[in-house]
Amino acid sequence: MKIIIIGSGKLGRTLAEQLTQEDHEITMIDKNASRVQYVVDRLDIMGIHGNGATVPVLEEAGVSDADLVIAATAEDELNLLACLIAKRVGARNTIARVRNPEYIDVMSLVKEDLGLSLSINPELACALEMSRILKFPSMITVDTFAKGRVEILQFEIGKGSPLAGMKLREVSRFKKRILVCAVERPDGSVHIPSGNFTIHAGDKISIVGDSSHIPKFLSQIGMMKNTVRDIIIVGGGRIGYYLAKQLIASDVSVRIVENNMERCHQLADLLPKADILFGDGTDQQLLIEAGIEKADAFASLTGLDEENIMMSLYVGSMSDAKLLTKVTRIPFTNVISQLNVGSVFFPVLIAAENIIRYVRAMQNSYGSNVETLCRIVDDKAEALEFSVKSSSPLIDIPLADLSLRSNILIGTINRGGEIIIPGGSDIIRPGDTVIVITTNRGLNVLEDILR
Amino acid sequence: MNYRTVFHNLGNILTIESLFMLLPVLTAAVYREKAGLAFAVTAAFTFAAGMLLAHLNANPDRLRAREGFVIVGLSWIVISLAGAFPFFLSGEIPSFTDAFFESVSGFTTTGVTVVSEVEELSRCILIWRSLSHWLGGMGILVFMLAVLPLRAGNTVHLLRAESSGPSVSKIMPRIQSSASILYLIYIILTLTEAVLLKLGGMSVFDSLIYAMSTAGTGGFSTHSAGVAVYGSSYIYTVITIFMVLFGLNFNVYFLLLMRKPREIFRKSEVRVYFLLFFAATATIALSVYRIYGSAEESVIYSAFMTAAFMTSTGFSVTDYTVWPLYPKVILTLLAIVGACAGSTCGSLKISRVIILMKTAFANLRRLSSPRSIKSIKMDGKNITKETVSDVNAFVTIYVLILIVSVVLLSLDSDSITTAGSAAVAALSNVGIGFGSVGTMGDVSFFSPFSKYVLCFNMLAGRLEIFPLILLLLPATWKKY
Repeated sequence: MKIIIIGSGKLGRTLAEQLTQEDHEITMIDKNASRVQYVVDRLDIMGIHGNGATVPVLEEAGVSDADLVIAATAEDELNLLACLIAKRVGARNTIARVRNPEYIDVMSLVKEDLGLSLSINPELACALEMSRILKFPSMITVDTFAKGRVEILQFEIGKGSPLAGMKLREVSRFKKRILVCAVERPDGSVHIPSGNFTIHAGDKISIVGDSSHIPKFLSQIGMMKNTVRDIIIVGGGRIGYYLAKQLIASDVSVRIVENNMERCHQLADLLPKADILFGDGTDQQLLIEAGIEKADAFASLTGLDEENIMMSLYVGSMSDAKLLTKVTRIPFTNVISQLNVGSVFFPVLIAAENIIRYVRAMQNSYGSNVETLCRIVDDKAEALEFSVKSSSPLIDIPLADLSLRSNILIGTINRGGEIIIPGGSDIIRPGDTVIVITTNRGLNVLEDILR
Repeated sequence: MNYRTVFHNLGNILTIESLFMLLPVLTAAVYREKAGLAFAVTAAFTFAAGMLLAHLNANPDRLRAREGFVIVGLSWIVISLAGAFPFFLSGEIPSFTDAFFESVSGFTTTGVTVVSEVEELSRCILIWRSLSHWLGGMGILVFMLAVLPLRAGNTVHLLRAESSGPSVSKIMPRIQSSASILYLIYIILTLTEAVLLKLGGMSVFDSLIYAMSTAGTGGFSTHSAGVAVYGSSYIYTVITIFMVLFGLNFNVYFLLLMRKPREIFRKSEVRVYFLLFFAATATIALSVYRIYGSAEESVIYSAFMTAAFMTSTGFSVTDYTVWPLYPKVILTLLAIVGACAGSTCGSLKISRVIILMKTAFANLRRLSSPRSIKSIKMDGKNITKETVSDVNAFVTIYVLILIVSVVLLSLDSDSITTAGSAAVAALSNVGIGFGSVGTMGDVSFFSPFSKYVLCFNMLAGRLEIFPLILLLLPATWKKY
């Protein structure tokens, strides 16, 4: 696909790098000539020097036949303007980075008017990722579908798990609407299981289900033992704010340490339920006073990578708290992952991942009706979301009577917000969205699942 | 310096060259010529050497600007060496120095020759000379970029080091698609010219030879009298038009493909190019009218020679050495200025001259009003300080090489005209000149030393100096 990226900052560069590897044609626009030069010297992309929110520059970049324009400059307003103009002069899809928390509610209002396909807030995306990790402590990965109503989780079956040695049809006795949709064996083979499949300890299983039922299921199988009840967050920036807001909503007690008095007052206004402490997070005494030794989780989210890493190392040495460490600079990923700093979060990579997932889905949905596409089980299987048209040959036939191809599973049916985990007698109706899990590649339309 | 990357790419280049040698082998088979054996042997050895070199250095990991320059500089020397063997082995050019000279002249699209009687050469040799023009014109590395997917490092450095002009940019985001489109345009234009020449009464063989020579703006032909043997104004006109077309920036054709024809004449370089061409043609036609006595002939001849010098093609259609001094001076100046950046031509390139002029006048303005600040623009875009200083460095070294080579050639020349003309003919890749160099660019009279000086000039001219000069700097060869 032809993709134009406006802004060659960290996000722009990361996107350009990863998208060229996936064989897209990238044109990058930046106001700063030497930064354009830097990127063009390193990646197989075209660079254009200029303001990406002006028509001549966009036209030089070939906006009229661009499949996607991604505005990732430092300024929200510029990004929105660039997307608006790009759309007006012919770009098919646009993605804007909008990070100001004050615009969050506005975005849902104006997204349609601006013709935005997606707006991405790296800090919010990062905070969501963090709160997921906290909510599902032993989880490996989480993907969402149907506007967040359906989740696919992947996790490993431990030796003591009640699921170990169980046949899949027996899983239904947990009476929760979830489905085991893919199993990766320790030897790396991936299976789309049937009811006779037996789960063993050491398998990595993927389950799909209604996101509101998943936590209960997890606690039934003993995966939710150590739920986080309180957390200390150092650094009350945007990520800290979003994370605190998320966690407070699910009844976690939150303490925020912030070294800027003015920001402390702002946070106190915004988050009345949180404890706001004024002080320096690198002050060990302060952390101990805040109760770090007993806390369930600790997040270091200041603007300085070095401080975050040092604090996490310190807390890790004296407490059992689950550690979350934010790192802004990407180049040292490999070194940092060797340290005992818990889960490391790179906001830029998380934002890039979200965008790339969208791009993949877009590419897959060309000439097809795939709504969302996720690679699951280390890219060895795909979960695809389709909307069902009234002309489809699948409708109104009990699923047991459909002759499906092998390695294909219908995970969920979303009927107007109601999530159905289908059995053999369920039928698909027009207007439903269906999530299909498969190890086959290249499904374009829902009918491709038929033999 | 990452030797693995350098050798891997050199290997690929040699393999590609060996495949192109199959065309002369085929020609020899059709015309039953013995010289074909020399091509078959060279192709086999080149192929083996190329494959070996590429596979011994598989998986190259880094390609920075420095490697880019070194790969380009070295591969042009290496392909010229390999290309010289058929001339030498077939015995048609008995001295290896001469064979190497002929090969360099071919690949650099210069067209000076050491062969006085071109008619005596085999057809397979003739087609190899023109094919080397054609390959050298657009660049063999650009061809490699078009056909081989290279993932290691950024190959934009190769494109930049091999293509001409002050600032080289891709026309498409992907380097492989850019290179493919350039070659596609190139092939279409070449075939169109061949067909038009065939319609004008040339044999298929000759029309291919002339089309490839024009495309690369080279100048090798099939007769010692040059294009003049055909005596057809139609053929002269077709060749003139195509010389001018190949002197245009190839981005122009890309704009045509993109259906944006209006933007073509918005480019100041294109406007200046046509302005210079028509002005020179008109004034030269006036000044040579007395010699030919016919308006048609003087216009056709002067247009042809203007295009031949300006685009550094170096065909000749008439004995212009008997022309008055004014056309000679103009033609020499046009040879030094050259045509558009991003074309297959040699010389300074018009865009560099425009940038030089604009900065010079900006400096003058600053003298008269020191506080005034004005940005220098070309086609509505600011010219960066880096570009200006690159152009200054380029022109300085260009002139320096010209002066040094005139001095070296003067040891061996009968007149300053010959020495100067030979140096310009080689450095600007024109390939024809005045004095003893003459209308066919026959320099067989020079000593081997002078021939090597000219070889250096030709390579420096085609590669726009820096890749070649960087090979000579010790800092280039540092380990990291």
